[in-house]
Amino acid sequence: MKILKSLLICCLCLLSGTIARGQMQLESNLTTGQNQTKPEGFLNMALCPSYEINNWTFGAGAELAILNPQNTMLDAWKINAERKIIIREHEYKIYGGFYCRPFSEYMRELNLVLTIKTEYGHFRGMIGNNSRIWRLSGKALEQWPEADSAGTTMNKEWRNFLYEFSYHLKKTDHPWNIGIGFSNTNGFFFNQETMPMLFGRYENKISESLQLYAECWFQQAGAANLQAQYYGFFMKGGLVWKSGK
Amino acid sequence: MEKWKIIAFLLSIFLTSCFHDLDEAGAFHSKYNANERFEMSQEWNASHPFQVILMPDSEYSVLYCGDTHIGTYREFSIVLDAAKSPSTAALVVAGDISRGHTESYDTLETLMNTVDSVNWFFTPGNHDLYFGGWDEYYPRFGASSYYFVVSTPAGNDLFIILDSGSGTLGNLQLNWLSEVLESFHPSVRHITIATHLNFFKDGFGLTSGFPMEEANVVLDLCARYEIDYIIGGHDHGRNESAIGNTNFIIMDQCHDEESNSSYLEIKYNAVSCIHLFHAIPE
Repeated sequence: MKILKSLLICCLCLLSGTIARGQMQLESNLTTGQNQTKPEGFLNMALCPSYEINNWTFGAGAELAILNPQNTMLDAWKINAERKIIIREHEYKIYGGFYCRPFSEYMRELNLVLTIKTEYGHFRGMIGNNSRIWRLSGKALEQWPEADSAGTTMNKEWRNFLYEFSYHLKKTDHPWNIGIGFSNTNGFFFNQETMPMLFGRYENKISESLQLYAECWFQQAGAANLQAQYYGFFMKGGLVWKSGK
Repeated sequence: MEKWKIIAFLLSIFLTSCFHDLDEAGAFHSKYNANERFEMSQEWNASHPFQVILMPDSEYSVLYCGDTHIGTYREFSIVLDAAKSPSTAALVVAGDISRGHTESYDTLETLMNTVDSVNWFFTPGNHDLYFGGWDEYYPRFGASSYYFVVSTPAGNDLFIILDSGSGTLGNLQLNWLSEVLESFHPSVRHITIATHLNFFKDGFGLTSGFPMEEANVVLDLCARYEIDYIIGGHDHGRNESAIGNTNFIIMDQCHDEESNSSYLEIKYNAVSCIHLFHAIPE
């Protein structure tokens, strides 16, 4: 509940900031699909407001599990910042984010993410790292108070390579585009580097302030082990709204 | 275009001939998926009820090893000898036991037919499933998902063996795991799960673990049912970590062609369980 309140306050601050001199952006999407943990399917909704000022973008977001939540309806939340930089007249975006997934009554998955992304003509690329921390929840610490002294309250994976590469039919500034690519991350989750997902994306800029997009993702397990099988798929549809400057 | 097709064809022939033990086609297609293997395992389990091993003392050991990649089996023989100790209740081999070829399975089956006085339990790894290896594994060794119980005067301990050979447990095996834990949890002293893949990784790596959604489901079960140990192999490098009540162990390989091989011993008693590694002399 505290998290939702914080997000609400954050949204209000961003909204008031828009009136001042920056640019407000709101991204909302629905994700549906199925996988081996949810063969009967799932439906998630995400809302991610952000605020851009002087080459910086500050954002937050939450994903709600509307159908088949693993633990609570608040599936995951994040805060993030992004900085545009120009190197040899080419724009890059450096992104940092903190993600929390309360996937269990007893455990939380936290991710610290640092990436750099850019676009070259028809190509888009992103590389980075996420550090994943699983830590016990307050309830678990009450159940196992000895975990603190034993040093077993959390487990860390500091290094996990993140990537996303895609090729698009049109150049970036075209009003609509369609592309295919592969990545080990999407939205609020981050697979290990050896678990790439394939995706296709369609996007359409309806007006200067509104863009719609749709994505289809295919998930495979065990590909790097050369003994692979279908794991799941999901489809995502969303809109990005930008306020006027 | 024809030129590229010829190059791709020659390249695939070259790669196949270079890596006799890798089944590149498996990255795109598997004859049996995790759910199909699980259903076959359940059929096997229906006619082979779970094993109960009776131990006279409340303190005993179970040995674990993995990644034997038979072929040759000098190091695996050392583990088999160690498992003959009267205080050892069982030996669990957590995948990549063979190289998937028929001759590899023939060697393994012949070896295991010579072993008596050891309660051994297998589960397949990705290499065991290469080249259609499940068709060799299943008729020889049976189920890949099952459990057994070690019964002592002070109480019973539960051991669950999971099949993660194709990178996922699959929804049927996940449901079954939840049901087994739910039915046994209050009545057993300790719970140990052994499988081939790992839930945590140590640094950048080329081998896959579980998809994140699935890892999180299992981590939740670990906390909910206070599982003592999750044992895996696959990485050919030891790693130990713990969160809450659960120890996550990645074992060294037990493979003649590599150095620093070891096997794992877990000692169980009425109140706790502790683990130690035994180096295998080269």
